[in-house]
Amino acid sequence: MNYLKLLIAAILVPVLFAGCKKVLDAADTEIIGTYTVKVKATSTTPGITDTEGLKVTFENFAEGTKVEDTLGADVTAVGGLIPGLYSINVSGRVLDANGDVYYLNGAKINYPITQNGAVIEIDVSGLKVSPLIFSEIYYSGTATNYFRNQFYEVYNNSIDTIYLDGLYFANLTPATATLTLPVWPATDGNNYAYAERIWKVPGTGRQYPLAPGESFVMSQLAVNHKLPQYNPASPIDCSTSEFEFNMNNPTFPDNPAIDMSHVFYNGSASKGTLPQYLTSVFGGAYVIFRVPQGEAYDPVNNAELKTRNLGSTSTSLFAKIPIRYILDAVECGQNQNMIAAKRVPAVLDAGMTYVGATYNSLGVARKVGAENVDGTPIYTDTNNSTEDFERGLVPVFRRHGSKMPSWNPTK
Amino acid sequence: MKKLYITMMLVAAGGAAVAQSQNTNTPASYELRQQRSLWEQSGNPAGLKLDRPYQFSTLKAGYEGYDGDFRRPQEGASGNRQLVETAGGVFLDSFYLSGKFSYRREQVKDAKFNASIIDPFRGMPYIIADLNPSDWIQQHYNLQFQVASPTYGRWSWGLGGSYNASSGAKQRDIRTENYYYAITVTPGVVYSISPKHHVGLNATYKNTKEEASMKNVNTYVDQVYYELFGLGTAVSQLGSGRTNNYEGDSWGGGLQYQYKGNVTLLANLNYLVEAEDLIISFTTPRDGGSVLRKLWQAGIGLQKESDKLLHTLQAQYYNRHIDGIQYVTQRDNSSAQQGWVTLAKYIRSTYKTQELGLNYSITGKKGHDDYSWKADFAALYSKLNDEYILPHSWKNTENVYFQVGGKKNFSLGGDRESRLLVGLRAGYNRNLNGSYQYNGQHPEYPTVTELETNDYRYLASDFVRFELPLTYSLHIGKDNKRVLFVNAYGRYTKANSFDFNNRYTYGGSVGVNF
Repeated sequence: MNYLKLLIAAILVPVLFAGCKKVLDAADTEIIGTYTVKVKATSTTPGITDTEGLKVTFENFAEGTKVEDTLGADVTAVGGLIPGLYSINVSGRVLDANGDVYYLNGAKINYPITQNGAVIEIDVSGLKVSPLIFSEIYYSGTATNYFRNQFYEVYNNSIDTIYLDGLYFANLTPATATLTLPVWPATDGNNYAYAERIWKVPGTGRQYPLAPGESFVMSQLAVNHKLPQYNPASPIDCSTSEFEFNMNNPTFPDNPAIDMSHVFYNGSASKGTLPQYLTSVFGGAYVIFRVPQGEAYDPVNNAELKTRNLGSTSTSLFAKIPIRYILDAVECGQNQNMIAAKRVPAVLDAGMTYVGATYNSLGVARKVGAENVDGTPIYTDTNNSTEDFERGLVPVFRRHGSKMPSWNPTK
Repeated sequence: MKKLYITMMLVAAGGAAVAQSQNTNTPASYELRQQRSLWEQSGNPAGLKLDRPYQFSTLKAGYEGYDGDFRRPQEGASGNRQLVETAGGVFLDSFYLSGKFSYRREQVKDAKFNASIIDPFRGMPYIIADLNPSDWIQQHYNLQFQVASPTYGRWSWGLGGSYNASSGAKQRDIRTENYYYAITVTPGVVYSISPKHHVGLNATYKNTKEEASMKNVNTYVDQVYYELFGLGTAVSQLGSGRTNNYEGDSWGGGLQYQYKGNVTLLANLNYLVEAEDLIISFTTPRDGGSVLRKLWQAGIGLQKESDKLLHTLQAQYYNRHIDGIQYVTQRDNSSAQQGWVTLAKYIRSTYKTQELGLNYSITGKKGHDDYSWKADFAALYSKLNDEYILPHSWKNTENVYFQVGGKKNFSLGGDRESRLLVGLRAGYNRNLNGSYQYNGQHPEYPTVTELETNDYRYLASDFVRFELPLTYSLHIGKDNKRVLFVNAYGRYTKANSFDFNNRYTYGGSVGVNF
């Protein structure tokens, strides 16, 4: 009988204790209030020490809240923050000692604000202004489950003609935004972005000039997708694309568009066995980059330029792209709440853009900031795709009067 | 599990074999028995024998259907239920044991804004809402027992327990398959100060769990869905949902005092505190939200009985306060891979419900155990005050509901003493006050414009309600102890506010008391 009592007690005591703990844990919770934090920005750009006047923005994407303030001389108190995870951006123009203007930018992504009065230190650095930028991206596909009409349009936002020969295009890993981010070698620091597949514009060096106000398009399949044999519901005719990601699928024709050169996939220069170059219909992360003159970039043969995800048992290899190579990066996700799953370093793209659904025939397009004399657009580029892109648009080629290059193969 | 239910059904129904029931087993006498059982209503099983119970058994099977647009958005547009219920009370030596078992199968049609929980009204704001009107198929099992000891000196002891199990399956993407259980244990004691004065004390422990596994059958179409945080605050997502695991524990107790003299008085006070956590995913768990519910209930019942009449006056006060707790969590993507780390938690929302009810009934008795007629009057004041603290949003309503009803027990005569119990009840709800104001982000989300707006409209509506229950019964068998009954009822609610029209419920059952 005593054994029975002991057995009952041995079962009941932990159960009752656990029940008490749950109630006590819940009772030990404070009522929410707003917090004030102190922001200190430090310039890492030589010659610039003053960060006064920079704009600091706190965005909680999950809750849709945004607080903006202007930095003071030293430490700036920013109040009215509801505790949570924030994307914090510091940006703006400052003068150096010589009177030159610099555009400074710094950020912290998914930064927890859970303590009133906390001090947040942010390094800001001079922003690389890219002459080439993504102007339109269409990744979501068309109902039902048609994904071959994906394309990426790149625009010359500068005042100089740029030769595209040797320009790289890559999609980063993870292919679809996920909160389970990869683990990269600690020795890499914050110096790389990690690509799943890399392509390159072919050419001899001056074969593909892109004048100011012109754009070029890279398509998964450069055909008129509105034709009956593809998907009449498709919003786009990709047959006038400049380039195509040709995966040698015998089911589809090789089109007039110039084939992009394949560079890297899973540690190899081979395209692999996939029948198409499909990036996520939820939205991927895309970069264009160029290797500085005098440097070699060979992620296939240089073991230092490829790695596996150390947080996984998978042996898949990904290419390292030095961040200083990257001209433009755009991160796309399922919706605004996937900002917590950012793959692109904040210095390249502090935000994320989205269309909110798959196969909805909608894309994203960069906002126009001003106009050139010839009527072509000058696009907004603050390295924050949340701010820089319009979302949920019916995709079109060469929006806002941007021009087609003279060497377009269909001309 | 099914074997257990069958065994309990047989135990509950099997009391008949040794039952020495009262003189009559009609549906009206069954109602009267329940009306007199004040200790049973108090929730302290130790006092059951002070109710002067007797052996009884009942078994019934029924069907109910409902339709109409006067409903909360998360209720089915229409639906139906099939029900089997059995209950019984039996003396085992000097102990009194009562038990109940019920099984209900429900088909809910075109319910919206719920893709993750069987009962969206059980005080858990952290659920998933989708936009597809969807059917649900649900099954509910309920098993209860109460046992009261004989009096040892001045002390009587009791133990109550219940086990509820439910399963539910949503029939359209995003689909979910849910399993719920709740186990409750209620030990109690009654001390008899004198034959007229009794005090009782009981404790309650309850453990609950609900698992919800969501998925899309059509994997080519990702669905938009919303993680709800209360009063329309939501985060939109795209995909196939998530796995939710709700786990809760409750503690509570009750105090009772009874006076039995020329009148019978029973006063009771109950308190229950419940904590329920939502954990998202089993593989990489994340704190998704918690609630802390505090429930107060106080009541006083007064009965005066003569040879011909039974007067019952009852007053009830109910207060429920829920704290909605949200967590700040962050995924650890370092090489340590610790999964989700909880950084902080805050009370982000509160939900308060208060009710004050008054009920008076007068019953014209037919002998001791049956009644000839009955009239009742009730008034219920209810106040709802829900708040999302930051950004501050609120939903509040204040209603008063009046009801008047009556029943007549007609004897139709004959060898089988057939009877017809006819009732009519009419109620009127008047909304005194109310508002819903959403000041958070994304006021264009359907969780604000449809779910909460229409829920507020429902809760703030004036309406009239009529109920008509009919029960025909007759004795069967040779000993005249068994009563077969057939019951049918209809309830019609006509709304007078907003764009609502009506809601009607109809049903019937057939059963045996023995």
